[in-house]
Amino acid sequence: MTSPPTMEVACLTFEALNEACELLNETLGRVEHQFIHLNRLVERLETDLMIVDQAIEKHPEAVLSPTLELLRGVIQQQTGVLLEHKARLKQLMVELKVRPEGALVDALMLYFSRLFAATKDTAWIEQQEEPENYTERLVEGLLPSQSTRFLSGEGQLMLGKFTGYTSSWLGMKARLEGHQYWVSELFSTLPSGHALAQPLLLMLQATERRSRFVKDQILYQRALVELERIGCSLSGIRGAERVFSLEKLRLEALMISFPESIMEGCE
Amino acid sequence: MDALASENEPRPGHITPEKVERLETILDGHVRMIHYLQNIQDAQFVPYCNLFIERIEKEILPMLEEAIVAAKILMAMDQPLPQIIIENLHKRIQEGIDLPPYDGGGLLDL
Repeated sequence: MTSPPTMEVACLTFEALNEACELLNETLGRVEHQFIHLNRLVERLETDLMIVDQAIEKHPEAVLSPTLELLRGVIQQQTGVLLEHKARLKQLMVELKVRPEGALVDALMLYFSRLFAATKDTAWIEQQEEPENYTERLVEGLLPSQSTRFLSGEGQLMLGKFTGYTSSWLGMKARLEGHQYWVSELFSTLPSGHALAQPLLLMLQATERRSRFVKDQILYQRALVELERIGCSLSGIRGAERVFSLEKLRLEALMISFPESIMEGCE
Repeated sequence: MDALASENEPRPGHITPEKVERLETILDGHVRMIHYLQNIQDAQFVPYCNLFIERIEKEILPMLEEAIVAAKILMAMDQPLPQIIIENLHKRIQEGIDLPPYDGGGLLDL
């Protein structure tokens, strides 16, 4: 005599497993897409920071490349793990169709147990009224749902803002402010233990240092205009020429022109 | 990198009109000293007077004129200037203020 209840259980498990695979497959696809967006954002950030670095190379600034390499490395490592998940999930889905009772299914199930639980948890958290009050599981190769949401929404909009190039410090100031915004917003969506958190924080600090330099350049330009305005109003006063010419020289020595050569290379 | 004063903060280089007046008074004192020295007719003192006049004209008056201009720049600024410029202007003002107000003779003894 066959045992119908056991069959039912096996059938339900198989169905639930397929559902979990579909959910995970969808999540992995979405995260992979967002890693591509993140890579593009990092490329734009690198281009802008390199332009600023070309101008400040005379000054003893912190070196950009290790920070950038760390961020790139972590993104690459996380993407690598994600692709591994994808490949194994495909394998599991095939095995479930061909040999659902096979030993490989068990082994792959073991591999995916944490991922299944994480995607299920996240799906549940997203249904709650205040999802930000819940902590998602940290899983290698996945992004928290808030990070995915940010990158697919505002992140993409930001990416649009960074198309084209600037040829002035004023334009660069706006671009760096944009970069500071997306880096800090993305950072705020990550739990502190996430692999991307620390490199993003370092990147934010590197961007802030360069942003300060750019702001100083803009203020030097404004100060020169201001000195010239005051110079006109004090013209004719004895000693004015001597003071103004010297102070203008001092100010001009602090000013660095926007690096044109890199711009030409970029375009 | 040079620090700049924020637009919202009170200007660190703020100068009062009294300070400019003080510098102008010192300058006026030295100009009067020149006139005084120019009016000394005694032939035995004329070479010394000319020497004193030359020193006042070449060393003291330019310093005071520049101090007055520096003070007027700081008074007239609407935008924050770089800290280094503000410091230089203050240094010039201080150098002018540090000169004895009406003691040209004493200074010329140096």
